[in-house]
Amino acid sequence: MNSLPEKVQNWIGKVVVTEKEVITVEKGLWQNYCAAIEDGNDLYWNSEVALEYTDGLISPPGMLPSWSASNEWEPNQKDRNRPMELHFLLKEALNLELGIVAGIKFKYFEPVRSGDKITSEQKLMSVSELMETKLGLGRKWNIDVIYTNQNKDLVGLQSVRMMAYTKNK
Amino acid sequence: MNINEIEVGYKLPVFTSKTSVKSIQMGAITSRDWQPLHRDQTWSKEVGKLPDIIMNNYTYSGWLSRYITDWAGPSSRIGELDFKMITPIIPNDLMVFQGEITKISKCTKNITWFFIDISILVQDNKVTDSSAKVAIPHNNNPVNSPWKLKKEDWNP
Repeated sequence: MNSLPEKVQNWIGKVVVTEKEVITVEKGLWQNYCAAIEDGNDLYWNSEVALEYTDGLISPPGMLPSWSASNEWEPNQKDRNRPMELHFLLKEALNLELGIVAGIKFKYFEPVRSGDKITSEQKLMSVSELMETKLGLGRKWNIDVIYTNQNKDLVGLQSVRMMAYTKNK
Repeated sequence: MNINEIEVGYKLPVFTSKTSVKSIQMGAITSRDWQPLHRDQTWSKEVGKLPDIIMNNYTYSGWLSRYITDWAGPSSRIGELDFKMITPIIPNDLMVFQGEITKISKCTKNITWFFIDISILVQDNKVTDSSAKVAIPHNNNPVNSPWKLKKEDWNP
């Protein structure tokens, strides 16, 4: 079937998933990430330098979406969204078992700091027709994510270009 | 670096780094991405039909941002970052970062926007295509830091 299910058609142009303040931003978490990419930027590590340039330490911009990802486990946890939950909802609604990210565009606004709580809204922008891809029969879709902090300041915009497919047998 | 001497066509210093199973797993876990294709080699090969675990996209943004700010300095501020993953980056890939200034425009009296095209190559093949827009102050005086701009004056 090439046509989109009505449920998916109704999602286009709308915010489908909201992740509200799932964790608190903290220095120890972003410094682990900096260690993984060996990023010694003073704004992430050195309070004195960061105070001069940015009024205090900031989180690396590459980690912005991470502040909307729930912990892998929490006590008394019931339903937990997956990172970029809307992508998984689309895969399930369209019976496509595997998915990959093809590209991403970020715009960064207010810096993210320790103690911040980030809310993200995932909006479905478009879904392609079924197509043959290098990996199998699938579809492409675009999701925009709007990130705000606890003060309702815009901290970032993300446009994600994704593809999901059923692997060739 | 004297940014007043930088012109369109300027090439950023080449930077290289070799990935490992640990570095790709660390990037995924520390960016809070729990998907198995970034940490489970058996799953990636047998279920995902991938050559190995692959770098997750938040680790890409980290490496690209690091490449920019290693060159531009900590007072620089990235406004926009766009990247396309052409071929997955896997363990033991030697990543070669190359960048070139494609456009320069005024941000404020003391800050300039630099537009940069960045490629990541592995074994001479381009695996990632990226472009970025970064604000760089004309000197190291913290007063001129783009991070000190008012919200309404920051338009990435």
